Amino acid sequence: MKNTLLAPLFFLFFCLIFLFLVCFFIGMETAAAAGQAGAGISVSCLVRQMVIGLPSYTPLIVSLGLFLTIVRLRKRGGIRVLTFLFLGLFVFLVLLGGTRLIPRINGDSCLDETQTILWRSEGIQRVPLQEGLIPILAGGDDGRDLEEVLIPLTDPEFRLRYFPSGTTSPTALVLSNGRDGREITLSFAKGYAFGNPEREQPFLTDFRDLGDGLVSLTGGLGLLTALGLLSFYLVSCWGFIRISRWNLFNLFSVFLLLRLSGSIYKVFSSDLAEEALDLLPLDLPLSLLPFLALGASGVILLLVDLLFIPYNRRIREEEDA
Amino acid sequence: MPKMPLKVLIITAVLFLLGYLSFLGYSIFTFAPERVDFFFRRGWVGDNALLLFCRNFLTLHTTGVLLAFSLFFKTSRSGDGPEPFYKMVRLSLVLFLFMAGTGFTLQELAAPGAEARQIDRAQKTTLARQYQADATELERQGRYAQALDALRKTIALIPGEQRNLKDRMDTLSNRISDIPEDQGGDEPFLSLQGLSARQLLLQAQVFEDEGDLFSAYYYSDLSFRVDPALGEARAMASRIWDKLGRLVPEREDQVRWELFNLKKRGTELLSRGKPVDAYYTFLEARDYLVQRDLPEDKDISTYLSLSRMEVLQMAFFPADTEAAQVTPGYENLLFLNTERTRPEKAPVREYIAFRRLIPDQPEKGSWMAEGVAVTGISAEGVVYEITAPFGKILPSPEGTGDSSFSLQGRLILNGINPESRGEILHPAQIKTGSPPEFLEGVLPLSLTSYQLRSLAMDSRGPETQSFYILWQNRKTLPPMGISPASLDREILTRILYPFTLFIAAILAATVGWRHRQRNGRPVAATVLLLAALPFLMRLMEDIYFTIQTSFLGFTLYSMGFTAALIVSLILQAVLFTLSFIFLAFQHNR
Repeated sequence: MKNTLLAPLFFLFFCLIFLFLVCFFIGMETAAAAGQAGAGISVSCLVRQMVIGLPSYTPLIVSLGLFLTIVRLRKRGGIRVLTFLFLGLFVFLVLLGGTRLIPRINGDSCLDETQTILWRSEGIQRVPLQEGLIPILAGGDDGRDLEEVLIPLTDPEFRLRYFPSGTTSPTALVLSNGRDGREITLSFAKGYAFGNPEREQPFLTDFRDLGDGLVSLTGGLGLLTALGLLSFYLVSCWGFIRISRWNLFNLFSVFLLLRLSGSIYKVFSSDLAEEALDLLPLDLPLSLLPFLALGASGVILLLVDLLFIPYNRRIREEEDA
Repeated sequence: MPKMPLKVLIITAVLFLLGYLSFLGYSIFTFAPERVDFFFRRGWVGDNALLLFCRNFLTLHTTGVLLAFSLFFKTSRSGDGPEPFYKMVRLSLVLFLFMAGTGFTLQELAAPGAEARQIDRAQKTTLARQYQADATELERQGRYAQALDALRKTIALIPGEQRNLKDRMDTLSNRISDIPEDQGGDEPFLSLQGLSARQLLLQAQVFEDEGDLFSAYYYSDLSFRVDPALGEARAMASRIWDKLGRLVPEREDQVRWELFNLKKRGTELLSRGKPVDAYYTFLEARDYLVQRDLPEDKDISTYLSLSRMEVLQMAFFPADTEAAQVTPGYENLLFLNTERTRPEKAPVREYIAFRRLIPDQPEKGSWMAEGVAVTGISAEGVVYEITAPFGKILPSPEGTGDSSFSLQGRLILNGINPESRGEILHPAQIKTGSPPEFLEGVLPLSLTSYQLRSLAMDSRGPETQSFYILWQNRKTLPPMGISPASLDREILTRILYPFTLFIAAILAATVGWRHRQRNGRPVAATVLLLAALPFLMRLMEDIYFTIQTSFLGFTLYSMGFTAALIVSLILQAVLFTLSFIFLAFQHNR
């Protein structure tokens, strides 16, 4: 019983550790992005950016916290049903709090108005465009209003096109066509957008997409169902910490299954899933489809656990040894 | 357990082999003929597998160590007390160090070369397909000679196309009567570089003693130009010139008289710094000999070669452009060449763009540019604009320079016909105004060819360059507009990589041992699922590198490069210590 009661407490403790680490990570990313643009950043703005970013990272924090809790529960899991229910309840509550309470103090980013993708604006800068061209931008003092832009063009002949002025947005270069005053917008190459100077890892983006999906859900019942199904899937991974005699494999299996939550969400929120849903004679809300898939996966995991993995395997093994 | 390092080495080696074979299979499966021609398939597959192997070295190594310590060592059941784990793994630590060194070497030596070869293959394919399309269009227009030339260029790029294009080329050959032959001479090469004025004068003396007055005059004059203070050289040049004047052959000996005059005029033009005119004069003299079926003249051969060399300092020949068109290079270069000051006028910022930068004789600093655009801009707008189909980049001769900017090289924009006087084959077109220092198609460059090549980094990405190149260009590239952060972050990541390899191996050994298999063999299903392990390790690495990238970005912007390097190394030392502490806590029970 002691282990059953301690499990949610350990879960909350681990979540707090990862909350701190994720806040630190967001802070570093924000400060690096602000530094890249040559602008300073206040502490209040930094904190605001952390708070704004947190809801998206909630599923990641919960998954990592749950992973460490499951590792701790591998030897003594307490009363099976109660531990499962307690953990499920706390996972649900943390997910609810992370995705619904924090957005209430959300607001616009305090960086949007002053930041651009450009680095310190002394001298010239080169930022690749999506078309594969690399223009030269000679910037103003604020790194935003440009004084000289040169773009090499190949059609009809190779030559340099000069623009006397231009501006930048977080994702594009905006130039004024001297002849008719028309604006030309040229998107920067992927990976150069503000706050995203380097390529992103699928691990992070999948979990962030899942977090954003939870934040975007409206309606009380739908939200509670989605959170319940996700919590059920995550806690159902617990049984796999006992799946074999090889501890390392068990650890990695649980980690993989927790990481799969992001992938399952990604697959079932894609256009392909939407098209497949149209073929079914069911009237399911599209936004809930990924969570229903997670719930169904959770049922499978739970069945494998109940039918094939003895709960007291580790104890028996140690007694045998 | 003395066999421990050997066992770890064998398991890691097996995993490396399996990994490489998997990458080879993956490369064969993912080879895309629409991007790279089938002719390059074998090389592409080999290099792609090598690149994947280098990029996944950390994954394979840590997976191997993890598996070795987790699956292949049994718990001690002896009656003795637990033996500390560090005693068992100390020899393995040497192996980990060796593997860290191997991983770093592969990343710095093998990967950049393979990456460059892959880019070259893709470029050759694109160029060859462009030439093939051009050939079809030219054939349709009835321009058979040009069509045949385009097909030849295709074959030069992709030799495997020869069999496919043979019939088509034969048909084209039959349709045309004559095909322009490749120009360019194989005249003897004469190098005067590096000789002092005194050495040149001594050489002139030798020629005078041998009775070769043309050479004696040329060398003594050159000696005087190298060191105007050397009065002896001036006196000797004057004396030999007088001797030459007295050596005028009889008017009746028309042939000798004509040849003598041509040689004298050519030598004088060369001395006066007019190598193009001198070159055509000596060419005329050579043709004069050939037309009259006369034996080769040593003076004419020597000075034709010499003047040709000097011509190539201010113009290029068609052979240069033909080679450039079938050689892969660096694409889309644009840079600020210089800011020129003008009396009583606003300064001009001169920008130069190359569509392609192609190695010609890179060891001598000679490069070709295909597609050149030059634009000078002042406060009033565009002051001048020049375009040229080709350009040749040569290093600046020593001792030359300009007060307004550091002269590092020359961009030669005119291509001339070596057989026909005055015929400019590839003229530079001045669209607007005229640049202040644009003399006879030669434009001073403020960048070395080495710096130009490094500029291509922003189209290929800093991760494709070796650490040496990145470090060399750390200071020179940011003023040209390349993000200093992306360079510094890549440099720091490379510096930390061997530490990461070593620490990851220690942690993998610790974790593998701590969570090793107990009580018998694992079930078959577990073994089958082993394939998932490298992917999981890769996932762990992705998380680690995401955090590291973010951390490096933060430290670089808040503290600068040196401080970021020190902080990163301290952090690695902390991780190193922690990994050893974890290791020390393990034992064999």
